[in-house]
Amino acid sequence: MRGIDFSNPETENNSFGKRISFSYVPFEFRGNAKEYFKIWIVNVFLTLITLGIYSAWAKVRSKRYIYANTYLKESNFEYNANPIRILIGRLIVALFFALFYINFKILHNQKVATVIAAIFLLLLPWLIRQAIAFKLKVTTYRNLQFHFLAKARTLYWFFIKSLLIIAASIAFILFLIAKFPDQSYIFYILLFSFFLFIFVIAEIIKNYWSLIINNSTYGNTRFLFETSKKDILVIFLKMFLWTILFALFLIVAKATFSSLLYMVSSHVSSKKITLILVYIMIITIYLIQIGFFKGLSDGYFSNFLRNHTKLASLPLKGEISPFILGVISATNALAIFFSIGLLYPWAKMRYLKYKLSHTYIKNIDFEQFESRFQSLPYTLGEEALDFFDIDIGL
Amino acid sequence: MEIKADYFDGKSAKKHEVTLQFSKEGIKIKEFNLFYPKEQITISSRLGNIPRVIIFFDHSRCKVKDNDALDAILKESGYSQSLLYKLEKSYKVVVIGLTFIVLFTIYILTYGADAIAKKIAYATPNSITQKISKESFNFLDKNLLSKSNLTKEKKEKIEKLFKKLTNNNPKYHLHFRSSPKIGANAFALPNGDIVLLDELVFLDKDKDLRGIEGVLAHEIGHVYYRHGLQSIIKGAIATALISYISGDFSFIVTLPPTLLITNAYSREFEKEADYFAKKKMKELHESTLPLANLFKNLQKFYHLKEEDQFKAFLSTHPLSKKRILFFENKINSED
Repeated sequence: MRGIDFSNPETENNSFGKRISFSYVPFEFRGNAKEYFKIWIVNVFLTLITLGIYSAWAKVRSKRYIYANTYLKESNFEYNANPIRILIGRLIVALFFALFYINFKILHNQKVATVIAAIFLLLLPWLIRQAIAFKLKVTTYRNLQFHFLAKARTLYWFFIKSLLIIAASIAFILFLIAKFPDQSYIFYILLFSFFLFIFVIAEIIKNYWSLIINNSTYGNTRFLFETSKKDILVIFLKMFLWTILFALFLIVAKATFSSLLYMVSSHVSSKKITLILVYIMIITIYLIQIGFFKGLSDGYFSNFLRNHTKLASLPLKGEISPFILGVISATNALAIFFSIGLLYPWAKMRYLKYKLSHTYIKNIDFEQFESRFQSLPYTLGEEALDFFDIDIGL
Repeated sequence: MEIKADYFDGKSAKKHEVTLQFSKEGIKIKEFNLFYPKEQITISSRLGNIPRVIIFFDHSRCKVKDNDALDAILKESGYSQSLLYKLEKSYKVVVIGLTFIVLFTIYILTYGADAIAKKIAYATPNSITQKISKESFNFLDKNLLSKSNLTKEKKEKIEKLFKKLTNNNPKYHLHFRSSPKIGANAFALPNGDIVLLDELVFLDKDKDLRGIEGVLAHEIGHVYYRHGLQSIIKGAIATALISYISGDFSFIVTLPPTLLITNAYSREFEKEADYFAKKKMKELHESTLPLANLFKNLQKFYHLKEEDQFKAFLSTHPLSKKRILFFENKINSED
């Protein structure tokens, strides 16, 4: 099951003796806001009148639309999930949650609630494995499925390892506090704990993605993921700098707004209007802040995942501008809120269009690419899943 | 009837450009001279203008880009059409759907949630109400409440007022507690347990404690109308509906409106309890002025500015200015 090696593709010639262009090709998203809006409206409508049962079909239709509009070299992706399976999955989760909620919040039956939560936690690694496997299995490109090869025990081992790392760090910090009980050391210990915490998070993120991506395949070809903690720490540092910049922006925005409000309130006597303006401002800033940072971190992490992933020897490349993605995300949040949700389809299409058109994969000669695949046995019986929410894709 | 398609055998990513010949019996791939009978074929339903997928039983599949041409051929060779696409294509359905969604949302958030919550609240068996209330009370007692420091005299006085208000109904029980963490307050549990905090009693300057009588009447109103259960149910309905409609942006966008709506619900309950209290007091030929005074003291004590409208906008209780006027009988409604 080793990945194919496209040996030194930079210098290889094709059968016609011509040099092949090995530049990168972008993904392309052809989804259309108007078309998606209608699909979305029908989805919401049918979901409401069927009291939520249609939501599984709604999900499949909306995913089918998005996948099928994602093109790479003039071929599109496909989403093949069976809505019934999604419905059953949702019913089980809903039942679990309802049982927990009733016991915890209404009956205050903490013992039963704890048992339910414990069962859920014990099942969690297995559930995550199943979800990833399902997502990949229902995704096809040129009629080849994606697969997730990791066994449940790999996921369990990842969880245990992460917990051990966290426990060890906490134990070490407690040891430091016990060893240096003097007040003057507290600051240094806190500082050290902060950095240790960042390192632990980076380590866990690194392990998680290398577990997911290194166990994913397209057809029979493995994805490979290689990174170091340093790359993740750099992202954290950049996000931290953005947070400072954003704090400055907030100060300017608040000052500007206050003076505007002062001008307005001296002309308008109604308290209600002033009140509504204040409310709008608070909401606006809140949405910009959350939207911007959501897009920003998505941009950084998407680039990070793409730039460290190869399909066999074909590297992917992410050239998303995290700032632009942050701005898109912030304006989307505003648009959705102030249109009471109606602009959601437009916002979604716009976000995907930007993200996908800045995702690349190394281009190789098409026939060559295919013939290599053809020469490999295709393992039947496995079906592939939604790779896209998880890493490289949408 | 022929149409161009891209064929993928499912064993490799290689694309073959083929011609499909449709008949009433099935589909023939001209180039490979392969025939698939109708029972071995699944044709994906039309969705926007994405390429249609024709899946054969051996996992090979074809993609057809020309949706309109394919639809015409399918109709002629007797394949069924997708109802969903017809819905999604029609502007009429989109307009109707949109109107329905807006009206439905408004209805559910106003009358619907109210009716559902009332129905469930009144249908909830007594044993469950008891259990919920006991557990909540134990939880509060353990974490937030401590013993009352009121004099025996005062307690007896309040107890007497309470008995008068409840007409000695054994459903209602009064509990005295104190809680510096919560402050001047009183609350009711669904089973009729009413908790009065010392901090509030101290703020009532009326020598007959008739302000406290008003507060107790208000809390009895909450129990009488089953507001506790109703607010749990209404909150759940609003949260579920709003987060569903706004899709996967849910948390970001839905938090502010959800908070506003649940606060509005809670203000409604408070108003209803206020009406109940006023009515009850009048029945007993009591003045409601001491309650208004108690609210004034409460305001003074916590330095609440009446002008602080923004806070009121977000708060769970009606504006205290209006509340005071209501109990001073200067206005008949708190709206």
